[in-house]
Amino acid sequence: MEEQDQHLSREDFVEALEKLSSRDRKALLILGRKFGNMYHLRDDPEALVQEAIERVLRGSRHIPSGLNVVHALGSIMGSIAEGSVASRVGRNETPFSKLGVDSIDELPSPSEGLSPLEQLIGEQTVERIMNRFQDDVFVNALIQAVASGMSPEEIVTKIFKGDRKTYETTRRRFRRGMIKFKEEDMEA
Amino acid sequence: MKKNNYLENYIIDDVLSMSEQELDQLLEDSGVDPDHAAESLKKAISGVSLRYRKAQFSKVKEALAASKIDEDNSQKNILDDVKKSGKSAKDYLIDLIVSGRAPQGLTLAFREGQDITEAEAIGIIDDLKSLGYVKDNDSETSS
Repeated sequence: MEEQDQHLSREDFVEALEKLSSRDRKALLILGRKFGNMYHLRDDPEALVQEAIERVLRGSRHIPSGLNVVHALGSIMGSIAEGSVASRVGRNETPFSKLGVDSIDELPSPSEGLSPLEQLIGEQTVERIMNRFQDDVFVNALIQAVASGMSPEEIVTKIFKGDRKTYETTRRRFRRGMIKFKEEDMEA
Repeated sequence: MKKNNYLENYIIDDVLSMSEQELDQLLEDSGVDPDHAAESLKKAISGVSLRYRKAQFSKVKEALAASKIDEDNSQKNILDDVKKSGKSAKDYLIDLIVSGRAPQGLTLAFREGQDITEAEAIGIIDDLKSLGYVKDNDSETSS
């Protein structure tokens, strides 16, 4: 298959955007809010959605053919939001101390092709979210399980011992908590 | 994949699994009017889409204008060649046929007495040029 066939063309992407339902747009806004909160973005959720769309149109991001456009834009938004943390650190707008280290020398060793900074941002992000839910052992266990790469089915079986009802109520608490999750501004 | 990326994927899947009512509730929890926010994003997306379509239309217009200029230049060159030869376009075309530099089909059509106008003759010469039978400022045909 040609490489261009593996990605949605700009024309098809614009057509898909025009066909987004009200539900799709609300889902995008919620993802924008959650990822903005997760990575301390100043921008509002709509700005993050628009940035993701612009990057696809500029050709700097691609959407694999056959993938749900909302899902794909969500991934791009997450990546943009995460990238903004690295940019702010690079521009000295966010001190290293906000990432839990005092200097660049304390960054962890790179692994799996990741830069030390990328690795640290990833670990710190999960740690901060877990701290946010420190009083809820179930949500904490859920986050740990998700972050370790377990699938929802594995989490129900191995972490919640098959208790789907507890898993679902835990998932909802995590869902609601992430929309309100806002710590002190890392850019300050 | 990093830990935070697993979390992002989980969040995306979770949001995609929600009903519109659940999405509304979450937006309200974040202090946003769901319908107003969705409408605002719709307008923003329409703006992006309109800008894209305008840019595409401009490209098509530019391409069409460029091809029109090429066509006009080509016709002008033919007219110049025909003028230099001191003959009509029809006679110029006949010279091409007589000198054996026109396709067999065209020669036969002329033998069968098909009449053509000057404009049609210019069009045929243009086509022959495109096919490589005639070169610009072809001196042999004008002699």
